[in-house]
Amino acid sequence: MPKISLLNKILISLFLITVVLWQCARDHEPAKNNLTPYPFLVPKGFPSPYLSANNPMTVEGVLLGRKLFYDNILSSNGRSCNSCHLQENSFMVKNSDNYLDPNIYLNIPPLINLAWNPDFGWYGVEPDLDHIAVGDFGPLFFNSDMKKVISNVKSNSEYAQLYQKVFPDEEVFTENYFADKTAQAIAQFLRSIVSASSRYDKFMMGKAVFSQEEQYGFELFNSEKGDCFHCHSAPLFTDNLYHNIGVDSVFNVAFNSGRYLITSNPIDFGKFSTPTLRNIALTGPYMHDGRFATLDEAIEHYNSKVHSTSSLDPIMTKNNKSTKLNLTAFDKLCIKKFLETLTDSLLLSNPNYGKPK
Amino acid sequence: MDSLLFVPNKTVFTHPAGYLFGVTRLQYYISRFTAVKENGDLYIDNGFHYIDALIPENNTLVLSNLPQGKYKEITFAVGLDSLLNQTDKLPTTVENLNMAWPILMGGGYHFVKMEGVYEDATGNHGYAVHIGRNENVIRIRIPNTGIQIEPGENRISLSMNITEWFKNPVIYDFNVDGNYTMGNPVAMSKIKKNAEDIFTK
Repeated sequence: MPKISLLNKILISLFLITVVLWQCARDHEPAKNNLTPYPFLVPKGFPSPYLSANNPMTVEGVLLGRKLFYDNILSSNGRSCNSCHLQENSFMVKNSDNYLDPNIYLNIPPLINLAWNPDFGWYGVEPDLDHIAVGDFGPLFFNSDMKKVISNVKSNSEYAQLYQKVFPDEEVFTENYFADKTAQAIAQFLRSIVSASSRYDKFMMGKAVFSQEEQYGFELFNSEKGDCFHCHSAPLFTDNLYHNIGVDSVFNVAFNSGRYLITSNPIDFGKFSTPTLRNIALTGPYMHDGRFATLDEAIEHYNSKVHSTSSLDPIMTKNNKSTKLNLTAFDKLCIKKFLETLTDSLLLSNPNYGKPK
Repeated sequence: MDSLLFVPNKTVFTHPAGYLFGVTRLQYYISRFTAVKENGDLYIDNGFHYIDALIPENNTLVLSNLPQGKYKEITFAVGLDSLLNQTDKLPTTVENLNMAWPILMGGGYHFVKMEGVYEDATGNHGYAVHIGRNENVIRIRIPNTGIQIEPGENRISLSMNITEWFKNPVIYDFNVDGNYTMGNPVAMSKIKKNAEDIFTK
């Protein structure tokens, strides 16, 4: 615990009282150059997504991003985004499948419902989805030769037309713009990937029933006994915040330092963003470094293996200073069964997210 | 007045039970705000307001059309009334969704999430004071405010005395009463009563 001063009062500027007239509505900008605004449908009960004012989604922009996602035209080594981010895996990257240095043990969360993420990466290293694909053009992933990529794109009439339609006001085929605009198109596609069609969603709409085990797991998930809901809050099944859930007791591996790498505040040691639990049964291994191969191991961590450190999230300490949940084998089985109801099978085969024909 | 600027995650307080504690999360709802002028005129704000005390831009409450004048009393609730405290009643903002109280535990919303770490003789430990349920709405009354809203003035500052959450009328000791209040109606009730005087002008 930091010991800086012994204060017992907070000055909170609590009430800002104003007589300002509110302007609640904002005029929508008409789409430029006959672009068609993308009909982004917010599932019932979901919060408003973080849509980019600088990169408004259009049907054409999403299509361009989707084509690029599945095309190796951006790389010099034959790779494309979907070399790692496979739709059948909910677009996550498994350790065993990725191209990273095997000494860098990194687990990439699924690329679903990113429109609701305020920032990206396990410890929030990237604040802007519009920019995130730029990093993939580097030597580690695509090793892109941008001059050659631009030349190839320009000589492909379909791409040439799409780029110029989606980015009509830019000198899009200059090196200064091309990487940024390409990343924006891919970001549009990524924002379009929405998972809200699991059996859990149908259950909540009264269109499916749970088995007894699933129902009990649902109850445990939303109880103090299981205590999953505080961080994995529905319907996103993430609170979009950072937590140290006690997977490490020391932070001598740089990546395991988590949010501390951004803030340099010791209270952020070991904090990572809460991943969504949607499609969790498909997206093992688990935790930021993929240390748990199975859901059973991940659940057991919360049950009995939480390491208590000074930056451990307070919510991980239960009464009597215990960090254990004391779940029975049946409890753990039922929580797993409930988590499996979050699998969105429709997403895995949704042609709108698949390789364009 | 010993009010001092609170530094999130750093300021350390002395708990009335004798140990140190810090605050890493303090989120709550305010509703049913009223202000009574010296002449008896009553201002009522029927809205609800989400406050995150650790985020400067989120710890102000915006009220519209509060008339100028001198106010002798303000009252408000920390929490939500029973009409609002129902599952899915509030707009589906991320903040409201994160404050949801599971329907399987009665539904509605957390009124307060206060979390942090305390340090006793045995080491550092987390605490989570979560308050909810209709019977635990915290009624705040600040008499003799001396608040004068002048032309062009638009801000009133109130102080929250953090340690008052854990004393008056009873000392709430994490080691005795529980460092985790959810599922513990006795603990929530104690905190609720203590919290009625956390704010001062």
